[in-house]
Amino acid sequence: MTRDVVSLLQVVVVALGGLLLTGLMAKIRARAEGRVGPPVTQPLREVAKRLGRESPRATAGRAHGAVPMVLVVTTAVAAGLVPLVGLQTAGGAGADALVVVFLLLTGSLSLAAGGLATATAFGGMGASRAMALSALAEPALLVALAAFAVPAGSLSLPVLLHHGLSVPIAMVSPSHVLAALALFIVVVAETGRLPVDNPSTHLELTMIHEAMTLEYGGRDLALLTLGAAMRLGLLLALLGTLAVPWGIATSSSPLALASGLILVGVKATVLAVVIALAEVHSAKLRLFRVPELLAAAFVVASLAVLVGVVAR
Amino acid sequence: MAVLLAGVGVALAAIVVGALAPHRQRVLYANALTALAGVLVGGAAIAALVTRTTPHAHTGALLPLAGASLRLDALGASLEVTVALVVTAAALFSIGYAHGASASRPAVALQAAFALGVLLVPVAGDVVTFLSAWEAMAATSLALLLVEHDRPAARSAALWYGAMTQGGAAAITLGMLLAAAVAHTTSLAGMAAAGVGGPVAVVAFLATVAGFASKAGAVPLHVWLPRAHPEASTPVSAMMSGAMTALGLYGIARVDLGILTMIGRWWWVGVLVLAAASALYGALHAATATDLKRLLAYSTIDAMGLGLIGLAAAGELRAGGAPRAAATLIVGVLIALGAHGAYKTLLFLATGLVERATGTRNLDLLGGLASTMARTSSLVAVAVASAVGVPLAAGFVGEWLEIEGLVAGLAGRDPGGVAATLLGLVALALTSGLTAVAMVKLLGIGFLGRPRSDGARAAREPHGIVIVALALPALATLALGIVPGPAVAVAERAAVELGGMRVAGLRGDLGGIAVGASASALRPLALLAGLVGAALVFRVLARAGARGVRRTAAWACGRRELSARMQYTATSFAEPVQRVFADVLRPDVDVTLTHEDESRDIERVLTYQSSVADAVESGLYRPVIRGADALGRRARALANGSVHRYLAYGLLVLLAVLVVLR
Repeated sequence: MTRDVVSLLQVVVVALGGLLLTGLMAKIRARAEGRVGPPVTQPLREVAKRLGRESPRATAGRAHGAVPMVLVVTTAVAAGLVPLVGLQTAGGAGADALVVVFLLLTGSLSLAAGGLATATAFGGMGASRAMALSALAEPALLVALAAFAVPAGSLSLPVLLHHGLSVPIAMVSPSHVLAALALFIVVVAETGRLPVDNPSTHLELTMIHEAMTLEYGGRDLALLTLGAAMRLGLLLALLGTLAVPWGIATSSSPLALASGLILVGVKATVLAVVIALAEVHSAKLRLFRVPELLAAAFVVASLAVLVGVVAR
Repeated sequence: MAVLLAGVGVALAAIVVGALAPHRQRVLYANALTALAGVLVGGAAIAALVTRTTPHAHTGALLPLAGASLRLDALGASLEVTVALVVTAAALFSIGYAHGASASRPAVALQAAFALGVLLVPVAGDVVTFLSAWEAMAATSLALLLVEHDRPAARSAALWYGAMTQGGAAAITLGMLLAAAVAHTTSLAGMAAAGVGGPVAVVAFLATVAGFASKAGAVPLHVWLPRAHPEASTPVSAMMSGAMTALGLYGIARVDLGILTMIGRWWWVGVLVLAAASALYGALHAATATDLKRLLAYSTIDAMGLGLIGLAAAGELRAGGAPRAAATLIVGVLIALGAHGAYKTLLFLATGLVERATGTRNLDLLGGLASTMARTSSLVAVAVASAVGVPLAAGFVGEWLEIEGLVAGLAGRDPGGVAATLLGLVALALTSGLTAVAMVKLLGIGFLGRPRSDGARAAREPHGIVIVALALPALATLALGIVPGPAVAVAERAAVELGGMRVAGLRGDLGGIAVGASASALRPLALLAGLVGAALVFRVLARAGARGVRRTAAWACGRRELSARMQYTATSFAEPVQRVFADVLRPDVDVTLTHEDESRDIERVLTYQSSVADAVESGLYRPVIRGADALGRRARALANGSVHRYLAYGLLVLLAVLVVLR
């Protein structure tokens, strides 16, 4: 029962937190550029507003309209599965890192299919670019997670986090740091932040994620925005938790859960601020330079595995 | 056993009916009998797995020297379920599909014989039966390529396939006979019990791996596959890809893992490198291919490469002292082969329907089939989900188990073993990413969007038994994906049967799978409940206060007349991948620009052509073929028609023989 509560709590936190972090990152960027910027709650308001509007749809097929729902639902289930606030979620031992990766992949694949379903040039362009980058980001993500999994010998997130908690010194081992670095690059790519993708661009030719969502409006767009924000919140919280597992609730007492909640919020916020500040000082990479960045993440992740096994 | 023998009998009857009956009855009855044979043999395999028995039968009369012997152990039966599913689906499909040359007497009879061949290979109990079944499978599939022999492409594909398959069969025969000679028995179970070692085992290992890997389409022995699949008729392509290539991996598991158990681990590392290259090469070509069948052929190379990675890593892990991880990998491969058989059969059959409805299988000319061929498209979506590893589809279960096995194999090993296992993991991860590109392209370009040609616009949904044939593997995909427990429990027995592997602590039940060794678990039913629950909640949330859906024209950044030509095509969709991996793919890109007469600043026509040839074929095979050709031309001088010269040759040979035998 408490496991279900933890999971539900996590879904709500990831949804709200993801939207607020999106707002926070926009705010930081605006301030750094000398503007006041929209309030931090702006994404939340926009989603709430659009949820009440009708959805214009340009295609007759069902695929296009189903995409926002698939994205939100898979991300929500992933958010309920991953141990973020408490170590034991509704998934139990089934909270496997691979299940999370492939749930998120399902979301991005459906988004790409939705982009192609619109039959417009920009939808296809976004899908093509997103898939090419995801083909390189996904392996890096898998190998980075394997690097985290090697010390515990398991890809089950509760098991490997428990192992991380019981051996705190491992947090500063070279393998762990390298894996965290690789995962950081992947998270930046997967959430569509600079230098991979510019979330605030208004020029369609430079878009990746936004190009696939151009033909959505109203409720559909609200769900897509929510899904993208949840993805950001989830990946930042997951990165924070894997890198520094300390603070996650190991018991089901309300106090432990409350502190777990606050700490995962702090970890995700710190990462968001770091990414936002980095974004201020970096320009978007040329599209065909991005694979080099992702390949670097891939190599770093492989190195993390090798160092982790050989150094033991 | 009686059911299995009945199945074989029914398959034989199908061949006879196919060879003798007149047109209408021929297609219906021969294929119905083949489907029945598939059901019977598959049922016998499932019964043997459920009752944990090993039925076997032997007759001294049928084949010379050793007689024929059939044996259904856990490994054979696990594979047989997959093969039977593929054969049944393909046969049902043929009932509603066969036409023209593929409905002729030889074609129908040969297809039934091919089905019998693939059904017999996993149940063969001794070397002679195995080799006979293997050769029956190879020869009939080769003849089936020649059904449309008036097309030059078909003849060339048959030449390539004939060379590769007969070379492979020769290598397999050599390897298996060597092993049998050392073990002093031809029974496969007896050879496994005796164990084969020493230098002979190395020769047998190399020969059988080469032979079986060529059947599984491993690089660089894959060249026949992208030629043969597009040229064979649709149900034959489906059986070749879903069942026959999987039997290549079965051979490696049976002979190289099961009999040649004393082989050194570094031989397996060599196979692993080959497998990694194969998986990546197949995935890359699948991502850039525009012909549907060619795409699926390369995707088969990719899937078989992944399976071979699993088997090779398992061999290395077993020899390197990690028997549990090895067993997990074997189970993963067996499940992945089942998943691949189901989704690839579905995709090949759907390609046949698409080609019949639109007149093309060029992705650049397709599109919009989701609205004109809605049911076919939905079934294709299930197959695509399985291929890319969406949780709840069968493909994910196999991939999950393989990655679990590889990660478990990383812990506590020596650096060499770690490097090998990591290579497997890295190749698997990269391949899985590239597979997603190929499959999203197939679904998104081929079936979504708007039609790119008149043929695609005029497509009509097929009805009847062909849709049933597509639904069968789709159901299997979902069933195996949602309730993988029983299949995993069964496959684990097969892994232990291979020897040297301990029970991986895999527990499979209706709720899911648990890997004891690594304390991880997969709970698809709970996941399904979570997904359905979340979908309901978000639906209610989204419905509250919303005003529904309005049909509009696409915005397309304000552009008014949106034509189908403005969409991305398969070529443009894959362009970023093609550019990133240009060093491996070596695409041939040609841009021509013509100008208006008045000014060179105004362009009139811009054409962009891009094609990706098989670099291995042009780099490795062309020189060999050219060399052989040149040698043949030179040798012509030896035979100039002079009788005296021929008599001299005869005398020289006689003298040589006398000297040797002196």
